[in-house]
Amino acid sequence: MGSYFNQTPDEYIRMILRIGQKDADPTVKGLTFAQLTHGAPHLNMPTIPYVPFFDKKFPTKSGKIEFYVEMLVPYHQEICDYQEPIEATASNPLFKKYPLIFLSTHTRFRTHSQYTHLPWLEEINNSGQGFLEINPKDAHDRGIQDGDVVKIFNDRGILKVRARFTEGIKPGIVNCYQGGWDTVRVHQYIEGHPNNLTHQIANPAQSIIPNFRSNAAYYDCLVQVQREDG
Amino acid sequence: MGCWTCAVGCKAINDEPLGYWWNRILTTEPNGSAQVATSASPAIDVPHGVFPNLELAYLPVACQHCNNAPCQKVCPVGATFRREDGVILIDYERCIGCRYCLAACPYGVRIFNWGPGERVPDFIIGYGEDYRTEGRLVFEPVRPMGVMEKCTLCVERIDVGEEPFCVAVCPVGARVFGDLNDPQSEVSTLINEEGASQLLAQLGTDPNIYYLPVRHPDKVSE
Repeated sequence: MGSYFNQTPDEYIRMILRIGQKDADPTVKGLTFAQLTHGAPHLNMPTIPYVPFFDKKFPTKSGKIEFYVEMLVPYHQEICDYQEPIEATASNPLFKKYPLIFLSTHTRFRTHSQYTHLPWLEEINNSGQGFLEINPKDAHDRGIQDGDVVKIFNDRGILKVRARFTEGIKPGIVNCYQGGWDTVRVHQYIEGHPNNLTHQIANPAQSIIPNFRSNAAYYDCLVQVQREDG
Repeated sequence: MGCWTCAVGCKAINDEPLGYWWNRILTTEPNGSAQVATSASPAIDVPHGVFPNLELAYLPVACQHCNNAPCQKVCPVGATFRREDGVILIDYERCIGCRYCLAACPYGVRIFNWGPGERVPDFIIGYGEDYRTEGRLVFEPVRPMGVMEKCTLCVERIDVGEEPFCVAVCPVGARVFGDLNDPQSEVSTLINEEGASQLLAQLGTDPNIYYLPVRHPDKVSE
């Protein structure tokens, strides 16, 4: 450890906050190291903690929180209301061909694709290998046993992982955690990637909201699952 | 809540090699801990029951520090010993690697050093020093090949008044450390008031690790 961090914690704190220097961190400007480490010095911090919209100023046309958003009228989304998914709904003719809703939810063992390849966390999280959570009922209908390699597919692409039976997922829905890697060195899915299956159709209404980047609904995805031999 | 922070903390403070976990978190049924061997899920987070009537609880399992420890009884060289305060330890200078204790422990918490062990990162990040108690070598940052290892209840920490690391790092205060002989201690009070149980109590090992009942099991139903 010493070869990587060869100074004391105090020395690092002085260095990072530049204590006692002209360009000191604003929170400690004008304070000495001795003052900061003895007693309870008052840091140069705002006395009111940051609370979003504490000033009750909202960047909307009316200046208020808007439950009715006039600018979204052209998109018929001026009030919160149910809208049929673009794809993952039983009324979609595609549902006959791809009768399962595919989710790619987050696992608590990584943040999106960060920390994915950390050896300790891989050990906890199925050796880093992606898997398909599937209800045993859906699996039996398809001749799939727990641990079988399965192909998840639709018209956009495929994903191959092992099946994991769980009653924790509703029949009709399957899930494979997002954020795994498929790089030259790291292969966390047997073949393909959850993102091969999802569509990228953004909600057009999002494009006119300030400071809001458009995004697709990755849970809006129909697939079929079949057992892979070998 | 199954976050594995205690297990990762344990792995860090004790510099456990890849593939070694002194402390693991099983997914079980709420209050099914007395039958852990039959109720643990095949994989983490897999609940019990049939959708939508599901139950799930997390059970951290490390050395139970038994008063009547099978591992200690079978050790032919007295390497595994019980300290006066109840902590079960392994004397690395005495262990001959026969692995009788590995077979005898009903909790599956002992790990044998078949090889040198691969550590990531490859420098020492944990306690980092040899530790002796009663003159016996009970912790080394890198355990030698051919000895058993397991949870030491962080003797090097509790001997200087600190909590075991798993207790210290738990983000939700799910673990409590204290003196079972003191009826006024927090652990004694919790055990008495909430009715705690020991793992596989029917085996008569009389562990010093107690599990509090799950007071509000999360039930999911439509």
